[in-house]
Amino acid sequence: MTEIREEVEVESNGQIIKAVISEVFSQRQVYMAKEIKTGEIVALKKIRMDNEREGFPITAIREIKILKKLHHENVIKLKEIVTSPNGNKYKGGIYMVFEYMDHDLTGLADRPGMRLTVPQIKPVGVDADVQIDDLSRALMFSYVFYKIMWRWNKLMTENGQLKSIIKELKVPITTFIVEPFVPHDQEFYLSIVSERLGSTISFFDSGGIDIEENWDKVKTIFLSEACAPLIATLPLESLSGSLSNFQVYTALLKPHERIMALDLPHGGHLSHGYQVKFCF
Amino acid sequence: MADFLTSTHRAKWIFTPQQLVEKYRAASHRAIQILEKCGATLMEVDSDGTMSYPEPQNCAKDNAEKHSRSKPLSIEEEQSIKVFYENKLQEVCKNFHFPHKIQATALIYFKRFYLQWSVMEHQPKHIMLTCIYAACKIEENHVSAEELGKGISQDHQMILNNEMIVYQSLEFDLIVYAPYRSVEGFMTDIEDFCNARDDQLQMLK
Repeated sequence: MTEIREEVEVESNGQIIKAVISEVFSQRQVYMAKEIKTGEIVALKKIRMDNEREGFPITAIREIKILKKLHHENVIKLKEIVTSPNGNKYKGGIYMVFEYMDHDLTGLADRPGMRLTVPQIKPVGVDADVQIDDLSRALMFSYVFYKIMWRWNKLMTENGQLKSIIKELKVPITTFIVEPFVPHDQEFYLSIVSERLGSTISFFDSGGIDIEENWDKVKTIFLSEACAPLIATLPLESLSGSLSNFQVYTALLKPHERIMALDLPHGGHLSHGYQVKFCF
Repeated sequence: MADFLTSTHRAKWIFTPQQLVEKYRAASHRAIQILEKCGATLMEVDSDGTMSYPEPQNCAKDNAEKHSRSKPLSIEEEQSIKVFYENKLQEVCKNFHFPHKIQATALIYFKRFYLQWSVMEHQPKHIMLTCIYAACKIEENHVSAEELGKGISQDHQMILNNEMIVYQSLEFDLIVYAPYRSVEGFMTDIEDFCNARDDQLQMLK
């Protein structure tokens, strides 16, 4: 962590509201800033505009888009986007304003001789799994959440609250709507609708997503569109049938949704578990 | 969840007719003031989002010049210009064979942009193209600015110049909702309903 003191002034709606004293964290241009009016400490992240032939970088757009969609206590909050006009005595640029977090987990882990305080140890050791788990459940099932579970995208406050950041995204994010559907003849479906493409795949087979059997279908629909959906990115290959099914289920479910499958004597398959009932 | 109920679209961008009129008035009023001060209203924009009004001209010397000044547009005139370019926008989208979603998004961006600004301040032609460009970017159907410029034989630099100001005017609320999918679903439902036999009709009722 290098400490460069630098001042940046940004304006919001034509008024200059924040003067900034900063600490620059590593190579990324992230500053600590203080809002003049309220005295609130925030983090500013500069959107890099250099070397862009296509105007505003699409990676930043994706980041903004996904952050605006997410409201969760374990995801960092994007407060607003401010600009600093060129030509004043400070550097111009566009900044994203985030809430300020004290540490990032990678930095903590890599620092030799680092001792955590008691309120920090608890979440890192025990609660972290729960918090992250809760996050993946409560949020949408898409590539991001798989990605942000890694520790280098995690920040932590002094009292141990964990939050995820989302870095510039190189690939589009496709989100899915899962519609469990029970038609009249009592056959259970799960149809997955991609929001972006508007395409639907339905999976029959007693409520199970038989990804392995439908792998070609999944591939052609999603991969051919050059997007990186969850189904394609989850490490399915390393897992066998029922486990990978379960992984996909848990990723796709919203809170309080339920997966149902047929009981064995009624035609269910053992790989879906005997007396299956996963509730979230 | 990508939910309309919690979206910025619902929270910030749905207005009553009165609010709309007020917004048009405010923008037009500001433009007219600038016109009186400077004699021109078109703003210079830069790709990093900085913008400036034209330099005030010290031209109040003789009356003849005053008469030759351009007159401001009325709100109705602005409205019809906007409608014209909204139709143009659809034409451009059609010629590029963009999906409906992009056209809808671009249209909404265009409308939102001119809630903040008057037609007199920003060239609607440029803004229209920028909106299409932005919509392509956001809906992940990327078309390079150059290509877009070539397709309508315009310089693409102005698209990039205007991009930042468009995003700023939209306050970075980039996710918009289009009704196409829902309408489609509704249509299928209605079709099913029409084909339903009498006994099923009873059940549905």
